[in-house]
Amino acid sequence: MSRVAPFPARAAEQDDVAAPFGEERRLLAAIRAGDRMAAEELVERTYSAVYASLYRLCGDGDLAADLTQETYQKAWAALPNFDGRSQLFTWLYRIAYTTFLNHIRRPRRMTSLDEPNTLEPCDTRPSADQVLSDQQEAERLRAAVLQLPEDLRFTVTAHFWGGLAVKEIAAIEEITTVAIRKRLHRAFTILEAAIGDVEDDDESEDES
Amino acid sequence: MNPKTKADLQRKLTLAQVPKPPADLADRIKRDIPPHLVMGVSSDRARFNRSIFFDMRVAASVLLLVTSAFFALQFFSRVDHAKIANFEPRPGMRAIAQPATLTAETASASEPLQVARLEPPVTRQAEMPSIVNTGRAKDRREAAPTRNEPLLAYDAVQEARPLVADATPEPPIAREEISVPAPAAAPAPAPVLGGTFGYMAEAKASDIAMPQRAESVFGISVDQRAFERIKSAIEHGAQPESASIDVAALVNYFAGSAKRETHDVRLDAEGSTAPVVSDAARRMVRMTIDTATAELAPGASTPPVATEASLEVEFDKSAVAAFHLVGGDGSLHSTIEPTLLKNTSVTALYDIELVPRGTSWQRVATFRLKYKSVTDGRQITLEKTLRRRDLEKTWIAASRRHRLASLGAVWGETLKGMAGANDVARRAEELALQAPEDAKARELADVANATSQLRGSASGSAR
Repeated sequence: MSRVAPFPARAAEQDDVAAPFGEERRLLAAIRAGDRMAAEELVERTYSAVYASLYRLCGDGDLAADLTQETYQKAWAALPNFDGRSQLFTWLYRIAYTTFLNHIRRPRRMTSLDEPNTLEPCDTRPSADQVLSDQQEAERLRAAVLQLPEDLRFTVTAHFWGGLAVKEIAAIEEITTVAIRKRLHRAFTILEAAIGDVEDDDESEDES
Repeated sequence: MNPKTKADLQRKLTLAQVPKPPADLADRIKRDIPPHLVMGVSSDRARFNRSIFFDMRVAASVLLLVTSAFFALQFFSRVDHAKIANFEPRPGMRAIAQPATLTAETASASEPLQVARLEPPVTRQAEMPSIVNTGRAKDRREAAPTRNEPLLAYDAVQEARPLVADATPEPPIAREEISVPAPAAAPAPAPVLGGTFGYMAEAKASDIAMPQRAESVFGISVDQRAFERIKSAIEHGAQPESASIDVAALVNYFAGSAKRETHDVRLDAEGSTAPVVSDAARRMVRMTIDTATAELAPGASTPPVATEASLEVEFDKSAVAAFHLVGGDGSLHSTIEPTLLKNTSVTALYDIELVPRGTSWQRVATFRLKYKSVTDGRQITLEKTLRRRDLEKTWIAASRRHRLASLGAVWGETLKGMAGANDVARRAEELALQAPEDAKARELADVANATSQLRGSASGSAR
């Protein structure tokens, strides 16, 4: 596992991902015309963001890499069906999210949400306790997000982990932006309750 | 939820740390880029779309065409039915009352098809003496000599009235007047002569004086000597007497036997235009029954091939305006033959007049032969249906058997005094030239030429 990069990746990744609309069209046209270099350029621009999204969903670096690779395999097959009504990364994120859901629904490779995978710390300096604490907190949050109802889960992960704008998510879900914001609000309420319960349990365990 | 908590949650969600992707991930993904898939799929998709649009256009066109054809046929069918309903027989035709022996089933006006079902066979030999002795029939023959005129419309149709023509308003001749077996005044139950059809040929007085038939099957004369007698007379320069000409036998003589081997019993039906007819509505319909052949020792009797044979002839009223059995008096004399022997071939030739318009698949005639096979005892039904399209065939396109039979019939009628001998001779000559090996065609051409010359000399001497 390489070192942990701070999120959001927008500064580093989204600049590449959110290419100007005209540029994105040019890239797509070149790919459809059989330009392999354009396809590689698309990979270079987007794979980090896709990987980051999947990592936040599954919490496992290796699994995220595999799912990223699988996402692109599906994307090449589905590219002729891409109608260009949404941004390319939005479309890619949707594929990645579906790939992740398919993965956790596979019986033999079911990812346990109750027992989170341990993150391998890339930094083993003395501040490891703090890092571990942050990681545990992040993991609890991830588990809580994944326990959300499907519509809320997708909205939260797409917005915060996929970096999609509310407007983009609304377009994907074919609902209004107000409805998306309501979803986010409901999700926060559930997450707050879930995390609060966990923290209460931890505190009670410490006291005992 | 207070704003602080919300902001904290957002921060935690947003600032979650993510490791950098593996160094080789980009290469792994790039390796998966299909070399030609993107372009191929795109072009395939475009081609598929074009194909779908093309197929849809073709399907729409076919659907439109079929629908149009269907509605057009529906429309014309309605027009035809209306015309049939209003159809009036030609001036030369006359509707004949339903025969007394109609069954309730066949007499039903709602039935589109009516069956010419006859009484058990009454042979000519048995009929003839009593007919001759029937004074009423004699009187009728004298009173209405025009009924002697035979069937068949020639080019000079004006000078020779069609057989079915009878403009006289008198009531139709009942069959019983002809076939009464005894001189008793009370007529016997009548064998139906023309089936149950509304318009049909009348019995002719000429039939009364027809010669005795040595052989008949289903009441149809198959006398093989009939032709020889006429031929002999012509060769001696004599005009055969009209009454002695057995046209049905001539039809059977020229129709001959089946060229190919018949397993048991075969029923054949064919239709065409008439050989020398000028009336577009006239058609010749031939029905032939052939039985299996057998090698017979001298003096041996012919073995049977079927028993309890019955024949039904149906003409569809909506398609046929009039019909007449050539050489007969309307229809078959008998529809039952107790035993069908081997080496038998019998042909019935009908002259029919179609209604002015009709659909091509409209049923015109149905021939149904039922018999019990001697071989295995099974009850077998053979059926042949002729539709209007089957009758659109020209005489030239018909089978040789059909052409010979119909031309022989026309020749026989010519001998009876009708015009058209030259036309018959010309046609017969053509037929003979087409197949020089066909002895019967040559014979027909010779006798037709002789008849033509005889008639020419007769008309010359008359002048």
